[in-house]
Amino acid sequence: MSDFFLYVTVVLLIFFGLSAVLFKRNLIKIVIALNILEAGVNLFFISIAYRPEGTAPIFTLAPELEKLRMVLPTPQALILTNIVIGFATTALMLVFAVFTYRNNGTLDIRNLKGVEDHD
Amino acid sequence: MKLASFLSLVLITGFLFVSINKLHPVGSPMGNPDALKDRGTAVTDIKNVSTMDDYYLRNSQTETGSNNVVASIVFDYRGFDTLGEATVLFLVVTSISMLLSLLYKREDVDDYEFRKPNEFPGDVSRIISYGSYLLYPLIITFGVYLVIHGHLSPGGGFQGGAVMASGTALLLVSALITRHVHRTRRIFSFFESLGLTIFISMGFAGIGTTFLYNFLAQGSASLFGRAIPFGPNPGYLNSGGMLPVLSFAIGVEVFFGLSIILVSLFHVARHRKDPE
Amino acid sequence: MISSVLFIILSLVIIVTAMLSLYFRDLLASIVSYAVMSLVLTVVYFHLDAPDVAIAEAAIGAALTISIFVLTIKLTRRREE
Repeated sequence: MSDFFLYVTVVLLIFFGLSAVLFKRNLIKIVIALNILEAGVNLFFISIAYRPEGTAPIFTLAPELEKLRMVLPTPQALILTNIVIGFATTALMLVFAVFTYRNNGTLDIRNLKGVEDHD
Repeated sequence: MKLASFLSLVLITGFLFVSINKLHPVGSPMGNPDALKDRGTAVTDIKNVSTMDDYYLRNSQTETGSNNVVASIVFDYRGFDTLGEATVLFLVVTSISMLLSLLYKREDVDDYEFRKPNEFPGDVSRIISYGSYLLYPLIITFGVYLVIHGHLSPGGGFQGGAVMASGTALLLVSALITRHVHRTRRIFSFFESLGLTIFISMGFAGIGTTFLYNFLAQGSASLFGRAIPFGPNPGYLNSGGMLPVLSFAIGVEVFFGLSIILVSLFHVARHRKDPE
Repeated sequence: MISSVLFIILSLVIIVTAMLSLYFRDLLASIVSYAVMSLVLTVVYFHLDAPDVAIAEAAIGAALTISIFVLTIKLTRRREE
């Protein structure tokens, strides 16, 4: 069971993020929940690439060749760009939240109306 | 409606719990854990290599010349994905800057200059003002170090650019701002475009073989072309081929792009009253 | 043995702070809890032998994301509803 504990953490993070997206009413809470969902997915990728007796995949001042085992490098390369893209997406969602508040006076998703037409 | 969404949430979580039993346990992924032991001296060695990660671990140091396997995957083996990511970042920064410029007013002009620590307004505490005045050059130096040594130690363009952008956040929080801070947007966007242009031009420079071909890799007589043998070594700065140049371009683009986001949002937020 | 106990403790802290950040009504408190979760996630990345990802998560998740959120809260409301 302790082998799978990181995977259980990932599933719980995805569950909390998804449940808050479905059931919360404030827009900024929904954005925070999407960030938690994304943190869970990133943790999943890094945890499938782990070897307990391994070191980081860097050759500078590494242990000598007979004892050298490394963790898998490809999922780390994918998650590196994913973190920066996640931040950019969050920033764009928050700018939309600012505009929603200016047009409606509230951030409650039950009370939103459309945008007036500017001619 | 709420019952349907709750049931679907329980169903999805149940599927996830069932499927983690089918994965390998944490700590024994696919592949040969002894892929680095018995290796010859050729540039590319594919004896007993069965998965892609074994190939990357065994051959990336001698093919690209860099010590950091993750950086060589990000900038050399999968450089096209990095180009897509840089384009997405550029697009997001453009749209945020365009949307927030609808909220500027002509008369919201900052009238602060760059301050010494004993000239701050009364509402900024001494710890913040002195601390940020001393800390900002160290943050920028650390970010530049991460960008330049991307092929030797953990680091690279994305990490260094993000660390330098957090220096910009420190600058905005502690009131060390310059006059007309909204005018820095033009300079920042010029440098951000310059970073992405350098990346694409380096990709086209090796077009004789393929797009984003590492034509400065080891063996070529260039600034970054030192030959690196296989195995641990203390790390030489003039190695890595095209990796330091691409890392520098991405670092410039990420730093100025994220700074544009922070400065635009800060300038809109500056002239509002505090919420309740 | 020590490493799996460490992973279990850090994973529990991550889950608890993620639950807390969605429970608070004061949005500033939920953002601070999200930053704590991001910080503990950085330590987990370091112990999973991924230093590149740890530096990126520390710089972006713990420094830049919460400054964007604080600026947005200044432009909208601070309390929920």
